[in-house]
Amino acid sequence: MRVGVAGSKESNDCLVTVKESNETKIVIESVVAAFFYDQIKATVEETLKEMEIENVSVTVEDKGALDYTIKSRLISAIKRMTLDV
Amino acid sequence: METIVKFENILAAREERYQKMQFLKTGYKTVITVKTNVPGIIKNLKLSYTLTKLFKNLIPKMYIAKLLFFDTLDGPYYLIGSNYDADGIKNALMSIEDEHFLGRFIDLDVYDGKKTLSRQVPRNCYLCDNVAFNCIREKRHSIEELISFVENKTLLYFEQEVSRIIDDSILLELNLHPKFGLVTPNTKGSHKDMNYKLMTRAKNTILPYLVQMFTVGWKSKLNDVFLKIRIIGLEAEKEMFKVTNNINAYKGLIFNLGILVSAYGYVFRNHHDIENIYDVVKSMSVDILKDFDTSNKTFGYFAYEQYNILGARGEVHKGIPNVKKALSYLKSFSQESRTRTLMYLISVTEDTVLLKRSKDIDHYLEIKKMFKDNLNGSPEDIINLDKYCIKNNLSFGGSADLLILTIFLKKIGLN
Repeated sequence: MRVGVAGSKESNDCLVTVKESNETKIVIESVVAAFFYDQIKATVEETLKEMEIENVSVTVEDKGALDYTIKSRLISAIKRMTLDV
Repeated sequence: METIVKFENILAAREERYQKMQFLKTGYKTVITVKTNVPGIIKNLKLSYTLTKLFKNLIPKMYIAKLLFFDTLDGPYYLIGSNYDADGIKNALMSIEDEHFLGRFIDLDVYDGKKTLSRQVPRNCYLCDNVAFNCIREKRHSIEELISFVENKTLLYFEQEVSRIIDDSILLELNLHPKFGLVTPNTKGSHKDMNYKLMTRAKNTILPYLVQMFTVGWKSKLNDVFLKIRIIGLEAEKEMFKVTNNINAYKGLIFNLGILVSAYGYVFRNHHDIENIYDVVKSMSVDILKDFDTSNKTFGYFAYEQYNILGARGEVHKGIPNVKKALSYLKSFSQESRTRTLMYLISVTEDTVLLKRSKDIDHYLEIKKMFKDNLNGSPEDIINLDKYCIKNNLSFGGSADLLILTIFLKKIGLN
């Protein structure tokens, strides 16, 4: 199974792990989940759609990252996954 | 120069830090990260260097087994390898973050190999009472607003620090006794018109002006510093004369300590090596001897014209070489060390106060030699020298000022 990881668990950053999967699955652990879970999830879904990626399991361990950070980390993680052989 | 970097580069630098942390973890039990908590994509603000250095120095030494500094596109930071347990360190560092006046602006992260330990209660925003993460997400405050808040608070902190150091330095000189005809808590020495109370009053009056000069150094370009502090210095003199009934208590000190503290503000703010302070003093006062061309005919002018004695101006013009040398005599702030340092300064300084009070130039040179010969004298020799000075109505205001400068330098970490 191919895996891609990007980011860090520092404040204002997030660690994104992407794995091949039978279905698309999104798991979000965030320090701001109480207020922004939906927003973060929407960012992940939009990015996957833009990149035309399906059937991946995405885990976002968020430490207060902004949407563009999350997006950027996710894109890197996916690129790394596709390079992972 | 502050540089704006691509957002992607910042993210890459962060990942790299994460890898470095993991690598450092292979040799140590715990990894500590010291980095600023300042928003925006300009990561190499002067402020960030000031804050990281300040807090690195506050971390208990026992925790530090390995210290690494990195200057990256995500800003400057330290990584520390420690042999102590992550939990204990996190508690200690959290109290630094919570209790220090500037603690809100720093992240002292603790990494145990699996995770970075987080606080249970997330930190609040600088500007309002909301949880910071929420303000950041909702972009409730502008970056400019946030940064200027951090800037102002940082400057305020260092102004308070420098004010305390200046006050201590002046008092360590003033409280020294015996002192060869200078004012002490126990004697007016050779000064019929002064006493300890008057000196204290004068000190308290000039202190805020000296702090302002530090701030000028902090905020200004090097070429602008001198003209700006000169205006503040004149104001300080005026106010001092008001509280001393026109007695000159610290005019010389306003001049040379003012130059030194503004140089400190400049060096500190621009994160130069502290040793550069001598060169900064020198370049700030490059034109200072021109005063002798235009100045009204003060005693300083007379000393220069008659004997080519440059006095306080000469000392700063040369980058305070005698003060620099005097530091090696100031082993500690003990009575003994301060006395020897003052004696050394008297023996080498061009002191126009002494010249004024000597019978003639030969007497002036003779007195300086007496101090040179007694540099290693016994306590009894020192008492005799003190008696001689008071009997002959001598005093050494110029050298006493330079003792204050020497103490100041030691207090800011030079030796």
